[in-house]
Amino acid sequence: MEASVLIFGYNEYAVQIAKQVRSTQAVRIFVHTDEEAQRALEDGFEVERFDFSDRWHDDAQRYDAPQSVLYCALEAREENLFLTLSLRDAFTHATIIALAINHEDAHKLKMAGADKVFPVVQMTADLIVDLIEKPIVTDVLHKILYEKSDLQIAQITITKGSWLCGKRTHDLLWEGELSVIIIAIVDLELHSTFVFTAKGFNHHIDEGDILVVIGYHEQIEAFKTSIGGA
Amino acid sequence: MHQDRSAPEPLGDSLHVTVRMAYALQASERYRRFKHRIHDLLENNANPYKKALDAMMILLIFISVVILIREVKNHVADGWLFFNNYVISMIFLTEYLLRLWVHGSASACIIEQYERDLFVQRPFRLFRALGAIVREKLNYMRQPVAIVDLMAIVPFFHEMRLLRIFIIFRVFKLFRYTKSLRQLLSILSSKRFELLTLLIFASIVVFVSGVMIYIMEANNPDSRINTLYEALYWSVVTISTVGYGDFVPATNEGRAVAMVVIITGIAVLSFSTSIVVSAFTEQMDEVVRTKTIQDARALSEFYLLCGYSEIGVLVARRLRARGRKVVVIDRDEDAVRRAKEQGLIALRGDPGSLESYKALKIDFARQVLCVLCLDESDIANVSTALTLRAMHKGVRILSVLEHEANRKRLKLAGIHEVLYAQEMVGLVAGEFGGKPVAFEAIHALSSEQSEVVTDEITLDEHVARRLGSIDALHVKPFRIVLLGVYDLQGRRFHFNPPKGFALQGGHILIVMGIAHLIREFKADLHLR
Repeated sequence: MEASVLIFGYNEYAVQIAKQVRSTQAVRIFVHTDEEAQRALEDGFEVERFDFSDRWHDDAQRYDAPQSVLYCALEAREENLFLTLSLRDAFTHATIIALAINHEDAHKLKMAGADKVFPVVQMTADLIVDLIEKPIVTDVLHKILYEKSDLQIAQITITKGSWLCGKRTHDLLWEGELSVIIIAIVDLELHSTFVFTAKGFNHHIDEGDILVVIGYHEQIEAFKTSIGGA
Repeated sequence: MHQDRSAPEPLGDSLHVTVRMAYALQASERYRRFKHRIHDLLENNANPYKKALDAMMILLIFISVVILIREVKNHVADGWLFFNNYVISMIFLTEYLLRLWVHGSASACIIEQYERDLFVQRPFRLFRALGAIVREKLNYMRQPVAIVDLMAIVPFFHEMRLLRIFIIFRVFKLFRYTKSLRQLLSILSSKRFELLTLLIFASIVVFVSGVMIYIMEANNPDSRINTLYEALYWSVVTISTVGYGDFVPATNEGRAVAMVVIITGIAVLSFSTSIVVSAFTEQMDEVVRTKTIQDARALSEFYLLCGYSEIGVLVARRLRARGRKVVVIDRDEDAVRRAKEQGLIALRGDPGSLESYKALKIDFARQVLCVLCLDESDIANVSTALTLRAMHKGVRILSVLEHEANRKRLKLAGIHEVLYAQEMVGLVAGEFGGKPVAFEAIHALSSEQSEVVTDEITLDEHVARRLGSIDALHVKPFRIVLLGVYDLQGRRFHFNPPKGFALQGGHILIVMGIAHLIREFKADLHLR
């Protein structure tokens, strides 16, 4: 059983996803036209053909579903929706990410079983507005997220017995002198609710919470060690 | 055969002076600038002072009319009468003379005549030049608005009491100062042939029926119509379907004429209504377009969206939510309609054509914050960018890119920032695979719905000096997280700066917090 990234479709979005993830994970491209197959092969990917009438249960056995990520990136909206539904039926425990044009599509894809939907038009529009309205912030966050810079973003899970357990975000943000900045917390007690530290300043940190932190690589590692995080 | 032309006669002193003065005026930068300023003030709707001037003129008109009405049965203070008869009239006279002055150029007429005469080697004919000047000025004076202006000055000669009624002409001057009234006139004038034909027809019916009713009723002792004037009056009242009833035909023949006039009256009214309605329908697009252009020109600054695609819709929505103004140009009528439905200023036109921008008459340097080329075709966006570059070299342009292969072409077209959405989705996908929670956090920050946002605050020299170091920022009461300080000069980001970090002008604070608290913090920084 292999843990893989399976990308369905080979349009420009799919090409870019494949290029980004191939450095860290095994990528397999699923296409349903000869032209797409040809291009994917030329780009050096493993390619498989699929048909919308396929039953995916046999294919699902080949992969380590909980560790696999499936990208539904077909251009035709209806086909992408149908594919997402079919894949969810077969890959029950895999992470399915689908591309949507707008919010309506995004909602339907969620209903079809996608774990995460990228509303590409909305994301593009958001980025355009950020670029023209907040160019510095956008540039800084872009570097932190996507470029190989020392400044990184990381998620750290609070383990049992950590000295952070019981502390309030308030104490960490404005009273303490941490070398990293905690920007958000996912609280298990609140059903994995996402809390920004700037808003939930009185929030109690508990075991199992996930901290989203920004800092330099060494600082993040040192912080992880000091709190005994995972 | 050789034709001997006489040499130009030496110009007389007076002629010399006239021509010399004309040349001097044409060459004088100061004179031309002054004349241009006056012309701009009187005629250019975009001139900020014109609005104030128009408002003042409208106020003077109303004062004038109020005094006229009050004077009918009441005593009006001498001061007001003086103001009305002299001050207002003098202001109107000055305006009239200025308009007459800026219409055409007397010096240009003289020079043109002089050079023409010089070219054919004949003496300068001053009277011809003066004739040309008079003709040019008369062209202006013959215009209906100019005639109204002149009529409005007549009450100045207040000794001629009868002429005071001419004050009412001042009301007609309102057409000059109110755009909507001007548009109404322009719409109606587009149908002047139809309206004139109808008026002639109605006049003929009124005259013929008036004469007929006079013939039939004047000698009837039971009838109240005794004169031709009363007959014409009855005819007008009847054809207009008003029918006061003060004059009615008493004979059967007269009643027959009345029936014809009534039916004709209904037809005349229906035709006039339909002509006016069709004029409005036909001109509505132009009226709306003119209004759009005026609205765009009135904005102090805005983003120009070239192409109103799905991305354009979302970009415009977010920018408006941030209080920004957006103007849309799209060649597709449906897209323009959708933009207008969203409350945007939208104009139909090809973003890749100079004519579209010339029609919009915007000042790129002053008004346009950034042009966003959001067409779904790279070819269209390149064309738009090159057109914009031809219009203005420095305007900031951002464009979306459809195909990676065209990136270089977009850059060559002078686009500052090229956004390749597919690449961004690839980056996001890569990031999401590794750190899904972190990814969600960062992307939630840039979401429209998020209450918590990241923002940048630029410090000017004054504020930076007053604060000294980041210790003086006091972000805690505003629940703001200071992510770092960006040094614009050194192009360096100081993440989580230590205590005592010195602030300088040009430093940009990168902060995260609740949007309204960030706004309060910004205000507080400047008020401290």
